[in-house]
Amino acid sequence: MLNLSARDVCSVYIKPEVALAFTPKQWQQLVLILRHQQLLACYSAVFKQAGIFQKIPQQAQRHFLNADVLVANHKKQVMFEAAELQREIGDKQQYLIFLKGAGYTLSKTRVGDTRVYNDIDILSDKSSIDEIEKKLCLFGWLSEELTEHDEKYYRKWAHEIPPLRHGKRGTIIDIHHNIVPIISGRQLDANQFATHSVTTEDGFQILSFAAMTLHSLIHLFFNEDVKKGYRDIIDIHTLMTYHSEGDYWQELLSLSKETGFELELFLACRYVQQILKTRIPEEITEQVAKNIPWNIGYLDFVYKKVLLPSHPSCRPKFFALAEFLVLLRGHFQKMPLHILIFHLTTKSLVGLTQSLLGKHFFTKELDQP
Amino acid sequence: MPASYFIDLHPFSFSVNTDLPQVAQNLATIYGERFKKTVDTVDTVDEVADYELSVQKSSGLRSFIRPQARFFCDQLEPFKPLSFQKAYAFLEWGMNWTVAGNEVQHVIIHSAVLAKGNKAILFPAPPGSGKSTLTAYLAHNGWRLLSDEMALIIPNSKTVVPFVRPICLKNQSIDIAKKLFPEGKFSDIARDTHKGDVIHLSPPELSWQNRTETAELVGVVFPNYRVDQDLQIYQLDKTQAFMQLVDNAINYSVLGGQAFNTLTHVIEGVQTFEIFHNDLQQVAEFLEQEIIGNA
Repeated sequence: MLNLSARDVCSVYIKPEVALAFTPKQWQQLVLILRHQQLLACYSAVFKQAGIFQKIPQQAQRHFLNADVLVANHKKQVMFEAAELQREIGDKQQYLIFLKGAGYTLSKTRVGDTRVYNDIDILSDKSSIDEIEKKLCLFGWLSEELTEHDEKYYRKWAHEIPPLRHGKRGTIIDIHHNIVPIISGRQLDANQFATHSVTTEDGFQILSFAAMTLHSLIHLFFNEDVKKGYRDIIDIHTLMTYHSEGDYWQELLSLSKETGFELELFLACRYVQQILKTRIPEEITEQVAKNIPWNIGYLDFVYKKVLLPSHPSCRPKFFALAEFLVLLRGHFQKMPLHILIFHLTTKSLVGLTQSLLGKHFFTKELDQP
Repeated sequence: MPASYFIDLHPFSFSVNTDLPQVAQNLATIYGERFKKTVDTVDTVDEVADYELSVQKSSGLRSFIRPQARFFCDQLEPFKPLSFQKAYAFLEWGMNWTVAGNEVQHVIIHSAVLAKGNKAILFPAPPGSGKSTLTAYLAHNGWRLLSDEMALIIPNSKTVVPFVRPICLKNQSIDIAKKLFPEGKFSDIARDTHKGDVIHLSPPELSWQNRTETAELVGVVFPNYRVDQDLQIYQLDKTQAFMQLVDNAINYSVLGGQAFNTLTHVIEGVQTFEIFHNDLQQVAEFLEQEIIGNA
């Protein structure tokens, strides 16, 4: 049997009809890859839009239908949680902006249509964070136990406070006061950035589509973790393709300049075009191309691998190396060298012990499946 | 080298990867011909699995010192590892978790379902109520098992789709069952789990042969085993029965309105009882005469 490659999975997104030639085993693999990437519902919508959903083999079809139901439920839950948060801390700060997945969902537009995620991200002004945390504590949102190192990392260097988990419902929220770590030295003026927001008809504050795009691409290219890279590429593609009316492109360009993330914008445009054939206006492509970096060959080597759908069954050659290089790049961007060394030493001691003695060496046996 | 197996369990199928011989042995005992080694060279259509599961040894030194088994659903590891001897039970629970978390084409109720012909009775009950012992007894006495743990109801109907799997017996019921069904196909005992000692019992051939035959619900019975209690039967009013079903419905909140409508439809169209008993045969007689006979 012929295994699907990561490229094949992208091809299905661009031209869904190609999947109709798949063997049952290839459908099985596609479902597996998409479930792993939390993209089943996304592809389900792609097939429906192409009008070929009924032609999918029954067994695979069921998995897409399952994902449709789960995503509808997910959206309902997010709307509920967002309303709760608004009620609980809506009056505590200058702004309370729902970021990333939650922002997409609350926009009730295409970018949020099939998006599934594990936590709700919020941006608020730094001066209000303490009060928000205290108030949320009263409503049952508590921070999980952290190691001393992690606690210090969050409080001193990060752009967010440790995640809070709702004691009863288990929902997790991340409260940010910036969109990049403070320690990176590249944090932006969050209060200024927050002005690029809109209020939805349900009364939630979310970023404008341009600011959403910028945040998404900063998150992707400034991070050491790209496990969900392909999903992020789809988000950016969707925003650029379906939400780029009006002065979207001008806002995106000027915002990237103001905040100093022009390189990241260039990379995003480059890879969405290469991976998903995104149509970007020519004059925009020309403008961002001015920021082409000297080491583009190296970045291509890395990102053309890690941004593809990732699953053990379809990983390209040198994937592990590329993933490791992104890890390095992400860390170097985030922290000055002396702090990076300290951070990595602490983290790697735990990792080393685990690799030597088994991942669950420290895990207490808990009989609770 | 882990071996790959395929289990065809209508309406779902699983591939299982494992490097633990006792897992494969138990699977063979319990699932019989439904369980086979995957042949990798042929692209056979009937071996397309819905889920890829695996049970593996913990790596590193942990594989020597009090070895643990880890469960994966594809790349996800939803649970912390368990000690070695529980590996097979762990896989069974992992299968439940996988179905409960992914499958939303049916209203799934944590419940046993048994049928005579195509008339089925639902037995939802909390652990310790003697549900599985009753299930095992009925399945070995002319009834057909559709499910021991997960009842799959087609939305907006009273139709139950079988999901035939082993019966999970706990603690004292293990000895009782081994005495009652000396011919039964039992798995190894998993000791000291969160449910106590646990054993799995494969249902008789009749249940396996009819594992694609749906059945129509005619009754919902909440069983309670009490050592010193002769058979007592209470008719439940519709509201009570409905609420108890909701409590046992695994994907109730995900399906929302559809689940509400389905359970309402079920409750309105069936007889509902709560029973207390210490004699399985009496229960069987009651079920046959009062519920199946009158349906």
